[in-house]
Amino acid sequence: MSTTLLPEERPLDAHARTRSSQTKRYGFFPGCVAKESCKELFNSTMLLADKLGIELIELTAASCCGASVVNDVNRDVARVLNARTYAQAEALGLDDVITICSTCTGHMRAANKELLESEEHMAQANSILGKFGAKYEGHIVVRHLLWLLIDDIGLDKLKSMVVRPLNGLKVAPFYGCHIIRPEAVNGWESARNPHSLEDVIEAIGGEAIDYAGKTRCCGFHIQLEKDNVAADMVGQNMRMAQDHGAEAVLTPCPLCHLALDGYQQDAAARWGRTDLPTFHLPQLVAFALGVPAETLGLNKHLIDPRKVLVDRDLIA
Amino acid sequence: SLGERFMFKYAPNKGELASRDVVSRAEWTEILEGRGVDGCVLLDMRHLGREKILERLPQIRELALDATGKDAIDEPIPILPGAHYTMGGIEADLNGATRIPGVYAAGECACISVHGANRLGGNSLLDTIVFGARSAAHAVEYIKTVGEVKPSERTLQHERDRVADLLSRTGGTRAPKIRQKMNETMSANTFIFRNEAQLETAVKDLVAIRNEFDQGVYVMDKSKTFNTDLVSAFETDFLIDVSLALATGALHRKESRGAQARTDFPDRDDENWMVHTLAFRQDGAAPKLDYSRKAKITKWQPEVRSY
Amino acid sequence: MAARGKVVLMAKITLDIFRFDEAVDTVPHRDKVVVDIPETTTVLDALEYAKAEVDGSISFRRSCRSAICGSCSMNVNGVTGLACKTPCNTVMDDTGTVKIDPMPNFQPMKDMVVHMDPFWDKYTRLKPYLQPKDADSSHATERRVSPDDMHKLVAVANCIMCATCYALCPVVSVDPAFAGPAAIAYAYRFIEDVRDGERKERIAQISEDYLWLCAHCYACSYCPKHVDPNDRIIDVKRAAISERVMMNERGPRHALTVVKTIKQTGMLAETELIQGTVGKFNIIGLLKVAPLGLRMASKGKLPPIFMKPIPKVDEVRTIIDSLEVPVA
Repeated sequence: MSTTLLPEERPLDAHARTRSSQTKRYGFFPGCVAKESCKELFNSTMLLADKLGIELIELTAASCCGASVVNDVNRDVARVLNARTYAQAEALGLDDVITICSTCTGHMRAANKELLESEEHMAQANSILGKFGAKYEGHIVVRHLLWLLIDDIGLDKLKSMVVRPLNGLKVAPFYGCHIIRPEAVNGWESARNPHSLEDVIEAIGGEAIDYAGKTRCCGFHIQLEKDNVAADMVGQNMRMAQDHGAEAVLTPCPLCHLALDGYQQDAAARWGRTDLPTFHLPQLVAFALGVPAETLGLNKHLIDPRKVLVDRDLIA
Repeated sequence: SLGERFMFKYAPNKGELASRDVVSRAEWTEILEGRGVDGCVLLDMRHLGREKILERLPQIRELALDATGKDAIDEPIPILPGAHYTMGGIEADLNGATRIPGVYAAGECACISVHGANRLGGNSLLDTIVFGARSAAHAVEYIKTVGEVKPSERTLQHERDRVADLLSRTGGTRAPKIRQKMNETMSANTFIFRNEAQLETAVKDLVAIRNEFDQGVYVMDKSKTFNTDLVSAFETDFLIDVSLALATGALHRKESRGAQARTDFPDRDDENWMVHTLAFRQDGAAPKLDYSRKAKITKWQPEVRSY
Repeated sequence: MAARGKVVLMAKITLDIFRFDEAVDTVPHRDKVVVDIPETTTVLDALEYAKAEVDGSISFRRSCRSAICGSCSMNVNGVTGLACKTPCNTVMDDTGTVKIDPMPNFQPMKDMVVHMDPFWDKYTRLKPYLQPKDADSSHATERRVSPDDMHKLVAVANCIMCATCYALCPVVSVDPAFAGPAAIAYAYRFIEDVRDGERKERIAQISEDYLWLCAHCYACSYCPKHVDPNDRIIDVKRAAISERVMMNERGPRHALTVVKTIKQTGMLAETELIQGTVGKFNIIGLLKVAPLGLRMASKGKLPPIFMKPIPKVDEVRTIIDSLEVPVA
């Protein structure tokens, strides 16, 4: 029962390597939150890329595709907005669009799958893109930076680059739904028991905490829908993380970050205090690779992560 | 195993679309005569193509995939005949009324009978939908005539005592064990092909099983909450009765008809056997059989079955 | 059942089973039962074996054992699904142990048997039967529906009401008032049935049962019958907007505001999003989100209300206009 997928419900290959593994040049879509409410994510990503010796070429004219919410209004617009982004990447001679957001990953991959598996969808998209002279040829691979780290850089290489190991800091991974589900869209790893984040945590010297909430939903899309739901969606997971010994949380999704960073305070009333600081994936990896802590925007979080770093003798 | 589309040997016109009992006998014959593959025959759907299978047969394809690991789109599926439907059942009339006033039966459990010794494809819809509706309508009218009926307190207490007695036993044989013995004798002796010796053995075994159940069945779960061990015992109890009725009826019916294929009486005997078998339960013995209900022939005359 | 003539790998499998009887227990305990069975045996068959051979009181719902009745949903090694569709060797851990629990989000009654009423209630509220547009008597024959019109209902009609999706739903776990994936997907089945005459009423009913609390997390993508409830829920949301049901509620406001900000700037504009979802004049609503808003603002996390659009944003507008997407 590791998956209920039928043979024909296969995702696009998430492990696909392109010319970028040679050229080290990757198309990069940072998404909305990394440029607005979590600028520290964008900044640490660029600093990490520098350390890793890869070039992330930002697609500055790319748009948000609506983070799944737009599908509530119209079923085609997200797909066509993404086709525009992929066309831009192709026009720049790039093969990949790298994301730093679980939500971007899931929805961009879903759109790419729809475009590549249906001539009708591709034709519809290109007929609209044609109005401003763009065209998507279908050659883009959408991957999260997390996958790039493991597939292109490699855990062993990553480990060898660590200059500031985390001294056993107990880190609970929080994947964010859209980087793992549905398996027919993502498929980089099992969605029921993924371990990519744990592998990275261990590679950079932390201790990965296993808990059922790691694959559950943070509730971002329904935060304003009903009183208490935002706090409860966060509280139920952070309670589990803390009960299993976590000192901090690591997430590859800035929407999850906003939720986990913002709502633990409100969750305390019903779930008990947790106060777990949340790191962005590139932020913590950059830290371990020796990027100066003061450049990583650690002071931008609502739950200050600097305390746990001090407690583990990682910063002064 | 010869890669042969064997159904056309048995049903030159209809092939695989022949009646179910014909197909079962054909499959089993092929297996018995050594032309099976790993004790099965192969069901090949590949010629239908991927699209048609995904459109029309997705659930079957997935079931086969789960059970055998084989994708019907690419490979033939190993299959065996299995019990699909129980022909015969609680005697009921065209309104679903049984001989006990106020008790109705419709669907597979009933025998009205709309299909005799063979239930052809689609007929169970007739059984359920038409006779379900008819018996419901009739029951409503019946209720109006009798008003309120209080169940006999004595009968209720008898049942309570029976269940309490069952639950109070501290040892004996578990119902699944008894059921397994029943499975084994039914599978060995009342399967697709039957003969006198086998059927006699079945009846003898089942009478012993009946007695073992009555005297010694043991329900381990004493809980009053959702007691599936107790329910399973009830089910086994009734299955024994059904099996006994089936085996005894089969033993006495010295002919082949529909799904009953007797190697010692291979032909249909319309002169003597156009009758229903009515079976009446007897404690600790095979049921008493009654042949007073003749089959009613109206529009369609009995013919030779050929496919 | 072992296939004849094939070598079958037997294994000593430990079933680590949740035991609880609501009539007598206040807390559950666990029993370990070791069974010697082919390792490809399904969890259901393993449980039946344990029940027959070792402990008759082990209780679980089951019927067809072929994934069509929906009775045997349970939690096996942390994963909820149909026990009859789960071979032991796909779930047992390194010690050959299969951990069996009742499915989550339900109150346990007896071992793996749970109280299903809340799930059924959500269904009953849907009126899950055809309410035709016109009387039977106005039709000379049965109501005919074209294959194309039926096609989109086929996947949902495969729902076996096993409640796996409901058990996996993280929103149900924090808010049992949420209708849940199965009910909303089944509402879709009637909302899009061309014969049905209660489309708007059904959309209104399911919207009131918190349709918009679905967080699009796809936990329900593990439906064993491939119903894909999450995609159907999104379809119902679209129907709700197109039929203009409860347009002043948070859900529709949120979705339409997202489209608006993308059309204006090419990105999500968080500040505008909060305001558009809650409502500019909804003082109480805004006051409720104010504390978090202020904390965010103090860390520079709230972008200005008027954000600079991305380059070539007119292309985005062309896309949105070409597809005639409604905007807030």
